[in-house]
Amino acid sequence: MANTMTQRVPTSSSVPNPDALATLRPPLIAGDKQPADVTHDICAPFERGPTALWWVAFAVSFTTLVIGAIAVTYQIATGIGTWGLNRTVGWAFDITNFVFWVGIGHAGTLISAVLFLFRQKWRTSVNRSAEAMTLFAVMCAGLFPIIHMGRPWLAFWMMPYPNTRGPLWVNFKSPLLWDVFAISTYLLISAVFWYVGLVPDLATIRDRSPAGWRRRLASIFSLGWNGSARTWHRYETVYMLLAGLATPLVFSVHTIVSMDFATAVIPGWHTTIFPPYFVAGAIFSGLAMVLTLMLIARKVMQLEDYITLRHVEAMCKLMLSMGCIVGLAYGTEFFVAAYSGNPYEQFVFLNRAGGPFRWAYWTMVTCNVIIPQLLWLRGVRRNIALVFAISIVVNIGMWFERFVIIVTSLHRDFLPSSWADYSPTIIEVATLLGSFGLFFSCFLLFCRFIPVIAMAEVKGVLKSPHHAHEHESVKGDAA
Amino acid sequence: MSERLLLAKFGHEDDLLASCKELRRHDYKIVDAFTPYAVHGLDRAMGLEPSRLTWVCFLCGMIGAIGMLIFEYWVGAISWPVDVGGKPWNSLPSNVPVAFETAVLLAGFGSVFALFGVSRLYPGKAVRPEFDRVTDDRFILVLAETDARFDPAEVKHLLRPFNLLELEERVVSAGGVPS
Amino acid sequence: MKSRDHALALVSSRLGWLAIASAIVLAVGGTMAPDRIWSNLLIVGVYAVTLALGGALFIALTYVANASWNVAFRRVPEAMAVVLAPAGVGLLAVLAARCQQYAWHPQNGEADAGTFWFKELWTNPTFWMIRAVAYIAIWLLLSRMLVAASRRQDHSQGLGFTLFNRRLSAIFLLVYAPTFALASCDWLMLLDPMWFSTIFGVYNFAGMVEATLAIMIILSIILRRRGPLRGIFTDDHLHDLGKLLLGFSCFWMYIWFSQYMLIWYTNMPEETAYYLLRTGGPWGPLMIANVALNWIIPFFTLLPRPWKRNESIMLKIAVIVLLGRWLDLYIMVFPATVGTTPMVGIWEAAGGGLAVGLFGWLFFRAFTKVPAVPSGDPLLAESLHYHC
Repeated sequence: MANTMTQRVPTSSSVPNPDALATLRPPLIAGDKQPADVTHDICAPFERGPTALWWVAFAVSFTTLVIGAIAVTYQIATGIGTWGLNRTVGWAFDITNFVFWVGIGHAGTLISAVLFLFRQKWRTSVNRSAEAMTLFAVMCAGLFPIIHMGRPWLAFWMMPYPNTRGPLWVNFKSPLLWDVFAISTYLLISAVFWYVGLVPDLATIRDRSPAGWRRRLASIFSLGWNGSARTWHRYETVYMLLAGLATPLVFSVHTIVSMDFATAVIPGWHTTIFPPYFVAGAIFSGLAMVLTLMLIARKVMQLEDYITLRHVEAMCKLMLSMGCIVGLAYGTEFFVAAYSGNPYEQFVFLNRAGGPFRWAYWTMVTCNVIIPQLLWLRGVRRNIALVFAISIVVNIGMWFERFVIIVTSLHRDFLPSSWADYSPTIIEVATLLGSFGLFFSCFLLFCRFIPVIAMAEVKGVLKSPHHAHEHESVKGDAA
Repeated sequence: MSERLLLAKFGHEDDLLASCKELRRHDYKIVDAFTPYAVHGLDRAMGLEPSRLTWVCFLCGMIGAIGMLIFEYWVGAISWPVDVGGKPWNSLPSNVPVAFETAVLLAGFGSVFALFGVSRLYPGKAVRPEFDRVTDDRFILVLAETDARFDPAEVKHLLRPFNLLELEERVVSAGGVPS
Repeated sequence: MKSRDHALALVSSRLGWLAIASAIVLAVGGTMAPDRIWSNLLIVGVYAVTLALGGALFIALTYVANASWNVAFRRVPEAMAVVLAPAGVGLLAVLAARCQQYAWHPQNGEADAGTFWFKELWTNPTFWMIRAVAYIAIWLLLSRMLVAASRRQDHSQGLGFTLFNRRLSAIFLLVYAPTFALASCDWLMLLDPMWFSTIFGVYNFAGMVEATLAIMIILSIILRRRGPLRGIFTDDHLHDLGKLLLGFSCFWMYIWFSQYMLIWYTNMPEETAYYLLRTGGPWGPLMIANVALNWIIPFFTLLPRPWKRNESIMLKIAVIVLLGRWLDLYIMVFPATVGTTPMVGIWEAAGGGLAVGLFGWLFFRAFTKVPAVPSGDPLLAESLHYHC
């Protein structure tokens, strides 16, 4: 086989043009790092004490979390009547936040699993923090339905277990129950995926830390990892399996979230494109959040050599493509509303774009479809400040997307006499703020105690294929 | 019973890979290698068989999916039938999502715990064997000196072209290196 | 060199004869069962156009992803994309020949598509035909540019064509997504003028990509056996195509389930009508066969790693998937145009023969005209030495 291959390929191409390859395959990690540099650079931020900036950020996040906790305590003590809901708009702020946070969680799995299957090696610099973000976002998301129950101490009733109430089982035909299974599976599998990825790095920390609490914890959780190639071989298999499982899982989670709406008969909720459209939107918002966090982290923790402009550009391109898909879904909904000739369907979409919530609708379109088009320009993708601004804009836009879908479809339903308005109360806003507080507090703690970049994975991609031939020892001529 | 091991230390994955291939060509038995990260192609160079953990994953997934479908059917159609939206009691489409989630959950946990079991990874396990910098930037190839014709000098000669950093002999009690 | 050309010429001429024979059968049938023949020709047209377009889509996706693994056999999707011109013209001819076959056509009475002004505008036969021409023309232009740049690169070792094609691919994808969604609505969804489903474009996209991967597997294996790609298309490439086929098979199932489940769950008359027609009576087993051919069989057979590297197994799976794609289109078209009983006989076989023969014949003609390997691509070496 090898013989015929060399015959058929013209000789000029078997020696690839080095300039062309260097352009198409630039090194992933800048600064000509060696494995030891990676260990050092990535362990440095948590081996030195927390900076003043970290304390300030943590204080702010934690305060916000406390505010949220107070609001939640009050509403649990008083009742869901503290929210701005009414008989027409029975779902609004709370479920918006739920969908928003679940969506944020999706980019972590996209980066760690989907991009792993597609062998996008640049993911190694961002997957650890994106996965951590997933965990925290899903935790935040899970809070909202539990709060909404009004009696959160009975949340365990959502699980199918033999009980003295009949036994009365949960309703497996309800999309809300599918949510319970989807979200809890997602949280568990993401946690396992994250932890499995962390084990080799914990071993590195164990081996370089002086005796003390850090070393003791690291040696418990690194499970006696010794770097054996046999273990690595199995580990790689399991990592690939987990990626293969997490990929359909991440699709299923937002699909099931979308089915909370799409299985209803409400125009604006019931539409078959919801599953893929929600998944694209979730990945879109998640990537925006990853960019927001990573652009700060690379600056504050001096990781510019690891999260380079190339990584930022790659994420921008992904974000742009997701933005375009979301835009196409918005268009499809309008088109099919007109095409179907269904007056209710048409009314909902005209009401979205021109009704009392048009400001929310146009905020959504501007933030999600129009502004991200700037990312077509290479100059914008390589401008950190602009990318940061766009990532914030997309976060805002995606929150509004959920708000628009949920509230505008409900507030003017089939019966004009029951049309109503909706505005959130201070309690609802404080709860949303509190969830941000929880998210950022967790993320800051993560940055303090765990390597934010997967060292063992980054070391594996230091050698770009282009440089492979440069290491002279392969030829064995050192002797 | 104790075992004599020869440890060859390298500073670069290419050296490890190349010397691994070279030694296998000369019929040396490679016990294991220790690396700071998963070296691409090392499994082939060492001649490791593909892992059978994929089967664990598949079986757990099938058990999860089928088991949950049966349970949902029993709950919805036998134990306490409830009419939901006028649908038949044994509606397959509405049972699929939960069955799928259960399949993923079981498959994921099954394969991870199988990995921990097969590789003997558990909390608080002591690190054996211990090598300096192996979780940082050192690559170590371990050869067993069981063969009568094993010649450390020849190994040293074979490995010289590959930037060998250090060759060390170590005596360990049996089972010191998990095989 | 001579024997290789001969081996391919033999395959090509056999396919050509198959196409001619099928065309004669269909021409005879045209006088006996015009509805059925037209429906078969519509399937053949859509099938061929989506396969050719799928070739261009695959090229575009790999360019924007900066992928190299596919470079060694990129001439396969390129030659598929070249077939878009004859396939597109053929489809337009089928559409123009009997567009009264669509129930909304003015010849079939006034109110069949509803009375809303937008729907009336959208189902104006002239506008509908102009749109069809426009979709095909746009796809043709962009895919031809992609292929042309790749071919011109053979003579220059520069990076310029790669970068040009990467940009062009982004534009292709941007244009492709909305036009394909609208085209699948125009050609297939409008067969049931009162039915609508927003996911329909995505559903057709999923089927199209699945079938494209299957045909690429078959064609690459034939070309490897018969010479031009021997030693170039490796088991690693086959393995990766198999993984993609597995992934897109699952994606098709996911989209199928999303559409079916949401319509089943909500049970609104205007939507459920579509599935009532297609799950009742003898259509039920066909619906299950559709799922089996497109997902169940490929899913379980593509899971083991050795099978994805096995030429003869992959060939069989790919044929099953292509049959599944035909059945998928059959279920979309026939209940609307022919009637409530599924009919599979000589006319359908001839339709299949025409699709296979014509597409294959045109493909091999396009493939043999240019060098079998894009030798000027800077990523070719990476692709030839690729291990997955």
